[in-house]
Amino acid sequence: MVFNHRFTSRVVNRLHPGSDGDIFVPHGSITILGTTSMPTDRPDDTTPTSEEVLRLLKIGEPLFPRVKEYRILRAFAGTRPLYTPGNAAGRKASRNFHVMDHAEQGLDGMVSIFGGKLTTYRLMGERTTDKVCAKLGVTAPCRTAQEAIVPDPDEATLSRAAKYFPVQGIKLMADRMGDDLTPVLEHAEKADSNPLLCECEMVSLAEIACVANDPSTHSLTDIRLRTRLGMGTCQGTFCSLRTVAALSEHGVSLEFSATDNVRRFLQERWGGLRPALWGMQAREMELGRAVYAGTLNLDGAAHEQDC
Amino acid sequence: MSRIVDVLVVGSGMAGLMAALTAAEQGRSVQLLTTGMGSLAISGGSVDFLGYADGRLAADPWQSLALLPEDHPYRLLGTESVRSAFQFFADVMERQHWPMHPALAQSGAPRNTQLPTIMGTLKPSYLLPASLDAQALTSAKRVLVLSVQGLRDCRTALVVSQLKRYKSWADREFSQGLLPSPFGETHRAITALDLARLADKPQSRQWLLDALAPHAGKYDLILIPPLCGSKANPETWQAINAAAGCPVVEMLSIPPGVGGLRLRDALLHALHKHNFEMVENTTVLRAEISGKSCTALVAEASGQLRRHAARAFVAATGGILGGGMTLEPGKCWDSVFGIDITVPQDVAQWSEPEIFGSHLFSHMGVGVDREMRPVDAAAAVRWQNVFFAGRSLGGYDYATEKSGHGVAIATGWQAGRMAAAAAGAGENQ
Repeated sequence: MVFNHRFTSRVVNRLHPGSDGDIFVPHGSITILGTTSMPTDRPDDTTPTSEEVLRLLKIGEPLFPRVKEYRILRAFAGTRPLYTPGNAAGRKASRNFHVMDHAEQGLDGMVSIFGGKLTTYRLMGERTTDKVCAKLGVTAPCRTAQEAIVPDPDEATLSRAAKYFPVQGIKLMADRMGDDLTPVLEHAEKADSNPLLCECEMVSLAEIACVANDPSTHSLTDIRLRTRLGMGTCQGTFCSLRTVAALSEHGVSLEFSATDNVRRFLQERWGGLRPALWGMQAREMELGRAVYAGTLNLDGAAHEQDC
Repeated sequence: MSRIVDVLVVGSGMAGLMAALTAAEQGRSVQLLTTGMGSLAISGGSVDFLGYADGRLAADPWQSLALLPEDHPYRLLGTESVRSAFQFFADVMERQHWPMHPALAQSGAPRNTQLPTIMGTLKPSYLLPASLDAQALTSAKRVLVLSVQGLRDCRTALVVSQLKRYKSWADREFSQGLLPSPFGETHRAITALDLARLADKPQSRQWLLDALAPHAGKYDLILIPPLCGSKANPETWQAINAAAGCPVVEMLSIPPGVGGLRLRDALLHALHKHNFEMVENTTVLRAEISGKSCTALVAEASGQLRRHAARAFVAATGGILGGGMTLEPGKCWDSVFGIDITVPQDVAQWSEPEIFGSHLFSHMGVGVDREMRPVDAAAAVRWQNVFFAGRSLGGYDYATEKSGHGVAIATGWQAGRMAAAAAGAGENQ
């Protein structure tokens, strides 16, 4: 689950055998508390529940006694394949990854990799290619651990960016954009202005326009995944309209119409708000409904446009 | 403060101001406590009465009242009371030189009007300010959509592409324009409210008149973000319409709600003609109860506690959004009197998977009798001199019905009348 503010500067983790609710992780301007886990027959259903949120709050209380009063932004869940030889399940199943050579099963030349997560992808890549290369007789050392995928931007680039982007947000943007920082910067330099469209996460028009122009971007949600658009306090109330409006003005079309796009975007956000629908975030959510249903009639428009 | 006022109102949204005004017009002394600006700060300045009932678009909202469930505030009040409340509101606004009227169908019956928004969607609304030319919205052929340089919330390309998706707008001739910003190059993002404040005074409004002049005579209608003044001053929109040479209609916008501020301005002007005092930036913490009556509210302002005694009380505290209802896991109560609102223990049941679905939480609120007095589970009146109005009442969803200001006017009027009567009874005792 995600809290609206960063309440530690470092990760706070318990020293005990792996279990639910072990860890508070500050991330950008927010704090994440997790996790719960359960085996699932429906890996495509990643809906978090209120019961899980309440359980986490209870477990979190000994570490942060007033954690129940902190503003909750949302909850999220994901599916993760775990593989341990010998059928260990639940918390006992290893969170590590496994490289399997199927030669043992009579499938020579077939290698599989199971488990793992984004933070270990390069190590996973290294172990897998090492195994494959050994079979192929390639002995060159794997260099992935030494090479930066995206070099940190130099000072000159950052000071160039400072003319067009809010200073507090430049490092964050550079981290998000990686290789695409230069195109984003060039976009901002050519534009008349570079307004901030998402104030919570400090995402400006140039960044959004560059991501939107990427052929793999189809929706506002795709833009969010690259930029953090709509992931802050307002959960999309102000920035989703501004984004479809700006893209429309700049002739960038996405797969869905503006109304559909915003609706889908808010619907996705809604899924994470529902399990913690109380306190300050319930008020924020009512503001969102006041704006998109009460003022902009997005719910009515769905039935009244194109007919 | 030691003096006892007749009626103490909590909340300065539409419901609170209506309750205060209704009681004040009956000669009662009224004090109003408010934390913030209330619902009018996010309102477009028209009055939504009933846009959708039973999931259907309501062309004539009066007809559609019958489709509402029985516990809906409109049904509780009855059509005649709702009519009287709307008449009272219309009379007040007329006297403030800010008349609010419905558009009329060909039959002469009042109807809802589909108002364009800055998203290029249409929203049904009912009472319109005189500045809003509903006839032009229906009949205009040549339409110019304007925004202002640097205004992030309104982009004309979106408005035009979206409006064309409605049958009623598909065949119009659209043009677009971008007015220069009167603030010039600025690092700060500008809002419609910044521009509206400039338009309040003749000197600072001139940029807008000059910017509109080249478009004069070329169009039947100009759609513009809500920047035609932050006060209820007809001179502002009249000057703007004259410069444009055609009706200028403001599009409904995301907050700040400039149009709502005009309504607030007019209502506060009306209130200040009476024995009325508003205490801002103050938050009511609890009520003092004696038997079947409330005697005072305890409020906090700048770290100080203060007791506000009165003969009758109106809570127009704005529900979840306004802070008038507090939600905790498995619990919901009204924040001032602590009335428990029965809700399922399981939070998952409070809402629907679909964001604009018919949520339980959006209907949660205080249950009242016809006089707006909160009642307990056995329908018995809790206190003789406490009345509720606006979104802290249960039984309706303003957002999907488009009924926010309408319910606020109707229930605020009723609560104000009843509180005035209760204060009179209290005085005689």
